[in-house]
Amino acid sequence: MEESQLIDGMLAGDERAFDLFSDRFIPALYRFAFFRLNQDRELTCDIVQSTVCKAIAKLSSFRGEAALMTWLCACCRSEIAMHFRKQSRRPYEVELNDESFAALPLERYTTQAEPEGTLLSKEKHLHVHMVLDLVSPRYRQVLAWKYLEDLPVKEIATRLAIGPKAAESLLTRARRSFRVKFDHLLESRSGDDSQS
Amino acid sequence: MNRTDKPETDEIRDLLVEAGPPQPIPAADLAAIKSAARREFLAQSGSTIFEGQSMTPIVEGQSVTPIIEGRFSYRPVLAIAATLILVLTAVWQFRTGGSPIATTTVATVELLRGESAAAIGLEVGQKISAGEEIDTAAGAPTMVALRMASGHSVRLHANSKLRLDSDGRIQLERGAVYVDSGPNGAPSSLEIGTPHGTVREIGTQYEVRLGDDDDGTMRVRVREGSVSLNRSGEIFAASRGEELTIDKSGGVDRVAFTGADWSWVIAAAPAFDADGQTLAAYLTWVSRETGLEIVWDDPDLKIDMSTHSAFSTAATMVTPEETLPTILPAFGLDYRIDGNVLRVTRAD
Repeated sequence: MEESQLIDGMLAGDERAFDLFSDRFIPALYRFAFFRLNQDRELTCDIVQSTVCKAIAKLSSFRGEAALMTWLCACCRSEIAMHFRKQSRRPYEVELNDESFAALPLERYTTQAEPEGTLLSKEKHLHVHMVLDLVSPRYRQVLAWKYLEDLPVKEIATRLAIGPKAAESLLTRARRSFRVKFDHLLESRSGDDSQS
Repeated sequence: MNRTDKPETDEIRDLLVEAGPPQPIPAADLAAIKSAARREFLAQSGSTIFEGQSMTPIVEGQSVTPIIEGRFSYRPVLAIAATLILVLTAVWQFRTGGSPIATTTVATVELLRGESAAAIGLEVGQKISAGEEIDTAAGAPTMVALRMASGHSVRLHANSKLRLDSDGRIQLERGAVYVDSGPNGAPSSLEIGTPHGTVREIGTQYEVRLGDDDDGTMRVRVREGSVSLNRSGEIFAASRGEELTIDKSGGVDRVAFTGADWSWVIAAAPAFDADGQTLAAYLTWVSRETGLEIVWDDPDLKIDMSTHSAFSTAATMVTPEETLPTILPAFGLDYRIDGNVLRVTRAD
């Protein structure tokens, strides 16, 4: 289901659309907030819950000029800022320089030798994991089997009870979906920066 | 167009390998957030709230948990959840890294059937926590029977995958699942989320089967009771003996209660514990599992067997069809199967 269909469906009260929204976006948003809130689980829950509920209430005002995840992340940032304003203190200093991050092309991620534990590296990992949350469960599963568990295509085909060609085709679609969503996430960061 | 000369496959592999498995998100956290989001969604759409277990409709004027103004707070939920934690276990989606997370048991494994039962990482008696996924695709075909905390019997077919969101909601991601709320109904309802909509039961036995592809169809077969499916605001209903095919048309066909269509369900049925049970209870189990209607040749025979005939040992029955030729003669009974009817008679 395309994002525009999902939003239209939710606005029409379609529970299927809500379930998709809930399964696809809430885990990614949780990761996003958890990272920025210094892994404070309780605060993350409060912030994400507030963000999602407000986003649902304001969904009709979403014009679709940016990806839905971009909009949700912007809402979440705003919610975090508001929280710390109320607390009269600065947020945790974990926000990476968005400009430098957004300017990083994909090849920098895969070729640059960065020391482990840097914020840049952590942010990159966060984005990979957020994209895994955003792809369909089936794509997530085959990507994990192939690249995290290093299973051969034949074994993946066996597990899915499909032929090797179908498994390869599924992997190709999964990679394409991953790539598109990853690029959207990067572009959305660029968009955020130019607006701010 | 790729940004580098490096093949896209390698780029994605490098990204995933470097990032490593994602740390699982605590299921209790996600469940609390999704629950609040669902309330907000239903409040916005002016719909009816089905919170999985209670199926309590909102009536006009009834207060609903405030979400935006006086936002529903996570903190008390966390406090309540802490008192309900039954198991402290590590729930890792990719089974690596991180520290254990406190979770709530929503189901117990009752039966594993298949050559690769061990490969799917479950054991009979194992507690399943909210947020855990079960995938029967590993190795040779394996089936899993679960007993939900809500009392429902849930059976997962081979090459299928589901996620247990709570004891009132299961998300079916692939394959087929069968639900039995028991002869007297479960105290709470169970809903099955699917890519095609949410299936809700009204005291029933039914199977939900997804098509082979993400864009495929879905089939809901009702063996007893009735179910409803909400798809894009459209409500489809199916009753006993009906099969709902969810595609562009959403047609309804008739389906038999017995026969080969249900053979996997019978094969994955939890065993009947005969200890202290009467023959009548045994036959009720046979009927429920096979779909056969029990007909007693002599009404007095039914009364007699219901009150007096108890199993003398704590035998554990396997599948219903395997037990009939052994059990009924031991009670001086004979039987024959005519179509959908199991006719019980006195032995000659």
